Amino acid sequence: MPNEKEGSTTKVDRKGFLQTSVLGVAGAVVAGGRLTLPGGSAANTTRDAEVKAASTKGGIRAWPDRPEGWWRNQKPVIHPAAAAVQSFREIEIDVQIIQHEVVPGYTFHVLAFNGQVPGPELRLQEGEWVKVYFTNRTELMHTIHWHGVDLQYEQDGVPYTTQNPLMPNMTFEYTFQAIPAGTRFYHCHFGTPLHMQHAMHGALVIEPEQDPIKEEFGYSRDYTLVLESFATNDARDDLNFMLERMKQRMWLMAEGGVDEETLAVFESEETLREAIENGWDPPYLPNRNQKRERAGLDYNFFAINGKAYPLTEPIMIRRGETIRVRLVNGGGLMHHMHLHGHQFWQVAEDGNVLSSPLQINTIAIGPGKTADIIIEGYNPGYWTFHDHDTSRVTNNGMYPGGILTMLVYEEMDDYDGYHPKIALDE
Amino acid sequence: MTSRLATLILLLLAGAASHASAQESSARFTMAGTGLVSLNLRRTTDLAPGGGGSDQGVVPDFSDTYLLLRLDRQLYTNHRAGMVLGFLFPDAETGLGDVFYNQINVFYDTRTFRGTLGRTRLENFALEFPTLREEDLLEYGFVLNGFSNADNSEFNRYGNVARTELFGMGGRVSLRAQASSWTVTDGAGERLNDFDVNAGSTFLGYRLPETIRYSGVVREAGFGFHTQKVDLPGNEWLNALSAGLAVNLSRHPLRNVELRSQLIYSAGAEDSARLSVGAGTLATPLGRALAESTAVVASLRFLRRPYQLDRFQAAVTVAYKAFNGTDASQMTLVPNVFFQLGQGVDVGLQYQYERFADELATLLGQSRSHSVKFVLAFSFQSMFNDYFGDRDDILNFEHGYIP
Repeated sequence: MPNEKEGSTTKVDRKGFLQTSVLGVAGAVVAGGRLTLPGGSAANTTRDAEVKAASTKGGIRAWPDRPEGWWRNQKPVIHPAAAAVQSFREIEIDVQIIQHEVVPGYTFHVLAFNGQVPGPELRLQEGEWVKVYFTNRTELMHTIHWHGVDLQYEQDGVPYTTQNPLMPNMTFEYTFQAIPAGTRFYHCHFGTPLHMQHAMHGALVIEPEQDPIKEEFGYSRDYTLVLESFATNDARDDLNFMLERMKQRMWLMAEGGVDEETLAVFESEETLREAIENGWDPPYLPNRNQKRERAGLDYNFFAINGKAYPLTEPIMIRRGETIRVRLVNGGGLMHHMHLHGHQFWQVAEDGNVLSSPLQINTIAIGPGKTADIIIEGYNPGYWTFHDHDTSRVTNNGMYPGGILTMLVYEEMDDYDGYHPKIALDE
Repeated sequence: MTSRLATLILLLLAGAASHASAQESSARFTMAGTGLVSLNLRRTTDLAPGGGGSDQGVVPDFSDTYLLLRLDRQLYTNHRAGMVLGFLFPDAETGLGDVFYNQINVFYDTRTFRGTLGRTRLENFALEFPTLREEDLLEYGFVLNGFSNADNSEFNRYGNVARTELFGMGGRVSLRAQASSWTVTDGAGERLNDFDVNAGSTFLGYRLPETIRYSGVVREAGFGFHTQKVDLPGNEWLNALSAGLAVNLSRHPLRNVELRSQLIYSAGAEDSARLSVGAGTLATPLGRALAESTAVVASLRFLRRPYQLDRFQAAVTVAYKAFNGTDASQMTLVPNVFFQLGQGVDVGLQYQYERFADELATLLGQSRSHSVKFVLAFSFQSMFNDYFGDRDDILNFEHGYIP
């Protein structure tokens, strides 16, 4: 099997650029929505000089790789009511409790957007206006937070901060403009440790009219991998507890008799302190809550797009092909994704294009983070792509499992060498 | 004895929590218990010539204090099986010793079936009532043991059983059938080594799972048939019927009002003539168990739960029992109040008035009694290594059962 790196002029140049960048000359810049290499034109040279002049203090550049005017790239956020919009893209999302099979033979209850884990991937065009009709088909309360989207604050989906939580059998209408472009995601922000992680999250891709990454790397396939961590036993316990509590609260609400202390929701610090002085114990006090240590969830299953190895879908590539992989951390743990046999490019973080691509083979994705990487198909084979914190490459403590998939070259079907098997107990 | 118990508990805890091998499936472990200590004050009114009364001094009573251990695990079939080991501290007057092992059983559990083998509750009643201790209503609330003349509640509440239960409607409806071995004593109340199967019962019940106990009006309902093979001359079987109904008068989850009622009719196994005043057998526990009788119990309970936390309970229970074919009857009135000082810590006060009428008063030599109990109770339940749900989890009965 050939193993040489299938280089191209562009690739060699890019690598050479990075080596130069390390020496502190200049980095890739984003200008006019295009990823360009410096030093290629007189205009770039002039602009670099201007940036340098503008951001230098005492001869030391604060942000040597900062693209020109990047802090002014943010588009103004328009209040939905003020938007003179003729048409909206309309999207319907609900949440329901379903049974989800994460690996063959193991099923657990989850909160699922549109009955799937993760929720449906939403692809929007940058700048378009959307209306999301979110219907709550559970007996719990929920919201949707549009993570990384610049929107009017009342559309941000934070309960009791930007809106009241969505009650059972109700529909909330989120209206916002899809800005800025990039790999983002959405998740429930009510009871976040339980709801977001089990498994109310989904990818939100806002596509620019002109994608600098696409133009630079010319990728032909675009994958999204939502990384997940589940504490199924804690989730079962918490869901049962919350359902029991909410059934009672729903009765109270229907009868008009729910109070601040029962909901633990107060108008102000003053009313909170007043309640405490009158004998109310906040639910975080040890006398009310010792068992439900949300900070210490006992994670036992880890997944990519809802499935743990061996159910994870492989990433397909062809020799000479370039693909884009969007990594979204929908859970509450850190993941260190390592690709065997390849160096890949990190081109975006939190949905925003990096000022210069970074060539690495392991990328850390923290909770709430997204990262975009470009993989070039120069080394045919079956290549493991997995969380290098191998405690996450387990199913209920058994290795291998969890966040483990493969980069598979399509040509390998014809190869008569070794082909992977499914191993469950090493 | 105490050190042996402590060792046993430690071994069980260690076994449940250990991870001796990555391939070992550790048991789920549940530990529950109640420390129940009351200060009892009792006054009886005698029917002896002169008609005086007698006062019992303040007596500390820690009976019904118990510890319960349950271990269960998933099987290769995804069914479950487990064991229960429990003991309680009986009243000193019962002569049962320091500790009574009331729960020693193994069980097999599926979504629709449960089998239990070993010592456990006899389930010779339809409902439980809000009195401090079950023995407060023993004569009224249970089908009594027709083999025991011991003056204790344990022989009437616990026995060796082989029980099967079938569940429907997500566990709300159950059909139970059990063959059991009730404790047999001699005339002096001493336990005999007789472990033959001597009783059986079947019960059809409806019960709202505890997690949704306020979601309907009917909280519990059911009726049962109970029989004991007493082998008395002319009457081989002692049969009884039980029926009960518990309803939420108010479904308010913060101010719940609940009404419970139960009827137990025992057909009796002895010639009623022998149970007359002249024969005098109603004066003994065995005589009252064998007599034809009708007992009704009703309770009204108010539970205040600010912020969905139990804080205050006031209940009143009234019970009446008539021995059919005689003038003998008895009744009791049991109001009580409990305050929850913290989760699982209660302080309470219970008053009980009991009156024995006519022939029964004569036989017992007393007509009335008053008792006051001041109680401090500590209860807990902790589950470790919780790795599967139960039949009556909301998720399992509303969103699909996961074995």
